[in-house]
Amino acid sequence: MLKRKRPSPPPLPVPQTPRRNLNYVHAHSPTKPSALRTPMRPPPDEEDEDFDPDDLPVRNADKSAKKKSARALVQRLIRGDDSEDEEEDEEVEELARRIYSDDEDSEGEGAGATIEKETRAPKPGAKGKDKTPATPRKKKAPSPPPPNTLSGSDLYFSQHHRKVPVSNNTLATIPPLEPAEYFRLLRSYEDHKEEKENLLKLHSDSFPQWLFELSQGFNILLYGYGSKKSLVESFAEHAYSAQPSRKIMIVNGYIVTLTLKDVFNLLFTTISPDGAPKVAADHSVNLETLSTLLAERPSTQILLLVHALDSDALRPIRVQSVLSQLAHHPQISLLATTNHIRAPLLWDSATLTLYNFLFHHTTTFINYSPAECAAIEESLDMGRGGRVGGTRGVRFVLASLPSNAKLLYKMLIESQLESMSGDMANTETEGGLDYKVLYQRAVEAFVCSNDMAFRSLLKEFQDHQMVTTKKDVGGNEILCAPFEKEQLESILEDIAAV
Amino acid sequence: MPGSIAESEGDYDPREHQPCYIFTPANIQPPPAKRRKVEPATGKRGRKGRNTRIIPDEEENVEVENVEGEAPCPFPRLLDGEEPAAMAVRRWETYNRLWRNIEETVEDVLEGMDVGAVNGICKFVAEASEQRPESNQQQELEDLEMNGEEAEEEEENLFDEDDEAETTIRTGLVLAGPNIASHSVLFAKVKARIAQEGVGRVILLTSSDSGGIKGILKKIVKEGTQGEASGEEEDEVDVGRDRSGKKLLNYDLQILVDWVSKKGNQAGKIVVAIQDTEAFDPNILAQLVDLMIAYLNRIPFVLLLGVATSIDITQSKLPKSTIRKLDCKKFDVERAEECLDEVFKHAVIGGVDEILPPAIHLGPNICDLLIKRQNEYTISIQGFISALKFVYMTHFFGNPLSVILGFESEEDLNNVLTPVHIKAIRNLQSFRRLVEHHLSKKETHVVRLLLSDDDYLKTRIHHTLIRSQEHALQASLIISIFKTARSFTYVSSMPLPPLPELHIKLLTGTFHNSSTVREFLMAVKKLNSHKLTDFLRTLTTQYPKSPLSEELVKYLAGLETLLRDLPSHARSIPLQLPTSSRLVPAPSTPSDALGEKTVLFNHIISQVHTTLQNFFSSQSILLRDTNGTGIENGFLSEVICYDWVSPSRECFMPNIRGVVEGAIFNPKDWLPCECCPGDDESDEESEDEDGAENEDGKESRKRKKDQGEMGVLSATQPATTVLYRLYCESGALINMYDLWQAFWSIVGGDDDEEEESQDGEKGMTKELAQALFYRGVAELRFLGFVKYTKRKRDCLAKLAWKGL
Repeated sequence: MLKRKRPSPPPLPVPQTPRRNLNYVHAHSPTKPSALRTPMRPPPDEEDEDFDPDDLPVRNADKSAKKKSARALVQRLIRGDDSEDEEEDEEVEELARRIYSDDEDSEGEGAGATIEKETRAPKPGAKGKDKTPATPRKKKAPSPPPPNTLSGSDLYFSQHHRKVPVSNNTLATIPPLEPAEYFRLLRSYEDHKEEKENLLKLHSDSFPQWLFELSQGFNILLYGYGSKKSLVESFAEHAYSAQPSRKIMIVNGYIVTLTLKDVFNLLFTTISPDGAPKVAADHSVNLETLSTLLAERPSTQILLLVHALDSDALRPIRVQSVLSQLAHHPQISLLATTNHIRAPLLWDSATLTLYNFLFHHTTTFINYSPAECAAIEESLDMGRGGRVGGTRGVRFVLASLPSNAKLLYKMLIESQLESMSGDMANTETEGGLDYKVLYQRAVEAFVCSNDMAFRSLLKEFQDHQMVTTKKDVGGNEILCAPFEKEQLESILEDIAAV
Repeated sequence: MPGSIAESEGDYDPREHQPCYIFTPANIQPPPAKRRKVEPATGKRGRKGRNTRIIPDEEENVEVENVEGEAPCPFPRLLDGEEPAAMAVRRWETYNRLWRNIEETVEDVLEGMDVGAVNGICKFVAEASEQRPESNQQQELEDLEMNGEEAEEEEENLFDEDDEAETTIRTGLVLAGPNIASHSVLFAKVKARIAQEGVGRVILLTSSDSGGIKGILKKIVKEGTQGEASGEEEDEVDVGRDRSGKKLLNYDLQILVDWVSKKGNQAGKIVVAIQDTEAFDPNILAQLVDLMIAYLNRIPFVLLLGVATSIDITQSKLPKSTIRKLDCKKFDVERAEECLDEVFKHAVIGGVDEILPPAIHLGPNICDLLIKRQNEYTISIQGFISALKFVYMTHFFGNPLSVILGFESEEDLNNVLTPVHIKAIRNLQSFRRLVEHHLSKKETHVVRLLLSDDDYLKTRIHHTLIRSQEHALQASLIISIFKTARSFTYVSSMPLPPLPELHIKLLTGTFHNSSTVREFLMAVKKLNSHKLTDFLRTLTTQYPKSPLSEELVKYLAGLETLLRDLPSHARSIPLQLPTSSRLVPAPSTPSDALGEKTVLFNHIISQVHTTLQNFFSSQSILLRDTNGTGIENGFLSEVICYDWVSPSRECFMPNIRGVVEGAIFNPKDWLPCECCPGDDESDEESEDEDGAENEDGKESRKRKKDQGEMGVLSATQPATTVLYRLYCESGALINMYDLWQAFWSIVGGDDDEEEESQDGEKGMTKELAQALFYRGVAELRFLGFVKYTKRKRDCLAKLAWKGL
């Protein structure tokens, strides 16, 4: 929940946190929760001015409800925070919280007010433009002490010691952005061009220094915010002009499909263009081959420029260890970039010693290109069905499946789309298909011959969360692809295209 | 020549999507001539600027061609490009020479460090197998495990058969210390050594091999039988088949058995060395030990276990049944601190064995940093050496005057000192201090000479450099005298503070007042006559040239005559001062004569005490130069001393997260634009830095006032910044819709009517805002600040708290 202008909550007595309170109540004196709590309640302060006296009788009368809800909350806590079916419990939980928030006036605005607001929040279907819960609040509140005056650790604890309620708004209300439009807009927008170029210029001033450091057996790691791709490329140019005989090899670490095999392959063919040895499956063999190759050609110098050393493709420990051994070779120097704030956790001391890094701070502020930062592309799927990864993953999975599985999925999607176009109002239920019906259709279409085969086909989809199963009122199993209409359509197109 | 930032529209770069490729410049042109024209100096930045990177003054880098024509000199010409090219080359050469010296010394030291342990292990391996093999009782067991493929090698067994079953395996526990980076080096040394001695062959296993017993056996078999045997081709034919000619599986130890029996006594031991025992899967290890024991009668196995933590911890990890089967011997490898002490002594303090001390004096701050990093972060001696090398690199790369270091003779030095250098030296802070120092003494003629007479200045420089060497020798002498002397006192039971610590104290002038020295001096008083004799003798013979020795020789003579005069029966009883503070000898002394002697002894010992005290305090004060400043403030200190902390810290101990957070939170520090409001602090900073920006500061402050409550957030800031600031203020779970609303309210202008109409300065279209929002969130996710969560729909989980 974002509350930029929210007045900072009044100091809370620590034992007042719901969790501790509830556990305690539940375990020791289930009969008298409020009696225990009353002495802890802070004396009425100015916060209590908007304290509604009408609440009082309600609160007393609600004791049993309170107990029940306490139990619900406790159970939820026991099950752990990460339980996925939390949404289902949302209502119960919210009810519980509302009941409690009456009780815990000390939480004041924080909990109580927001929940009230939430209940008033526009329904997801309604146009969110005119009724924005966040904006008006922002304008109203006058000059509050910003909450970020707290230092890191204090802020951390203050945000964790009680659960800050988060509104139930979803991104569904924002009209989706078409990919082409998205990238066009991103390309067209540019800020601080001159400053960014100055920054690049500043960094490129240290190119001679970097070259010197590389020549001295160090490797260089660039870190800092912003895409360092153009910087590294201009460094490549500089390095080339300084010593054209040097082989400069650029590795795009951000490419998901990148493997060490690619790197070795290119290394081998570069070092010995005629008769490059085959790349073995075992990388320690490759390393040996490489060092014999290099030993035969002592004048060969290789400069390895790796974009995003902390990318997914290069993150596995084994890859890092092979790379560090590569970088350790005296004829190979490495200049790599990292972006993730926790990148240094990738390396243990042995790897780090092999890497022998000098860290250079190069903040460029250049926006990452979509290729570099896969998250940019994925971000388009934000707010579409809540399924992380979007349709991209589906495409991958489908590509790897046999044709009958594809056919089955196509059938499911088609029937789902039909039911969607049938009644637009019913988009929420996502019009699934009965298990038996789908099975029948599958058998008719010769997708599978028996229930076993059908199950095993379904299993694959369920593993990838491409199909969800629900029970309807009659107890029938309803299968459903958890996507929005547009996504379903695009998937259908993909299947048809293949 | 930075590439253009603008992503060229629609221009699809295939290389961007290629996993890897060889770089070729976009516009292929002949490689430019090495020597470029020197442009008139622009000199924008002071050499000792605040910037921590060693950026050469001029914008264009002037590569200098090396005279020898080998590796080109990577040093740019400094002093605004006025530095003669030859001098840049010379600087490069000097750097290479000086660093090579240090590198060699350090290598020697390191080489010598592990020798003891490596020898011990080698000997252990050689002796390990005298108790050989024996019965085949274990046969059943291994038959079970090895597919029962071999059953009838009894007669093949070369070794005498005994009734006793082999139940334990000789195991060397190598306590190699917590620095896992050095383990592989150590084991490689052991391996090389054992191979060299012909004692056997080592199969090195690491925890990454511990995937399965099969793989390990395969590796053992493979490495055990290959290698030097390449000369004997018949191995290839024979080994690997059992007698019936059936091919054995490649992880069958029988292959190794055959190989060993073929080789007979030449085979030596098969040493299985596990580099990181703690990380090795204990179950696999137990299996391996069982197997090795089962085969022990046919294969002379020895096990080496590398231990990084302690024996206790290793023991607790292994099953008891396995431990029982290990017949262990412990090897202590030199500990990291001792190693560091030794390297520090040679590479930083210098003056050991009369070798010239290192040319660069490391100041207390940088020493402190290096040592701290060493102790708290890396514990790797290689890391320390790298850091030291970086200091040398920085000094020679960025400091044009460093060329005067490492000269061979005065003449040589005078050649180096070109007019440009002389001019530069006259501009040094330390030169100014020197002049002021002389002025305060009213020595105007000296000042005049300094300012106008180049030759006089040259002699002064030479003198200073020579003196700095003496200085280093002196420091090294003090420390080693102290170390030797201290070993005679009872305090020596307490660990001596690490050498670097003493050195830092010496540099900061707190050495003689430190508790270590005071305790030592107290302890001297409590020496008895025998010990004192030894003490004095050692000091005078080991350090005959020290300023101490003259006096100490005198005391030694006095003490010796005193002892000679003692009655013969009393000679064996050492004289000692009573432990109480009374100076009068205790009445219990056997005779008056002896009592007298005690008084005399007391006299001598207090003299020794005073002499030592004076020595330490005067010497360490002497180190602080005439005007009370240390060498780090004396003339030419910029050249002789290196005490910058920030370059080393930035390059070796980066605060990556802090830097990223800082940059995103406050882009103004990096993008000094006029459009964005800065933080209060940064505004002040920019004002402090140069007055020229004063107006900018004012303007932005005015704008900030205009914006009122919006304060530091504005639409002109990068989207990621705006989002990050919102992020900082939000709770642990962030609803994306709310985030979007907040974002829109900042970038999209306040009024709803405005939003669609013009995308003027402030308002932008909703689509653009949305795109920027998506990208901003994506970037935050990419950088590791947030992740999608399944806990709630369309929510982000916060992963990092600023400043935490």
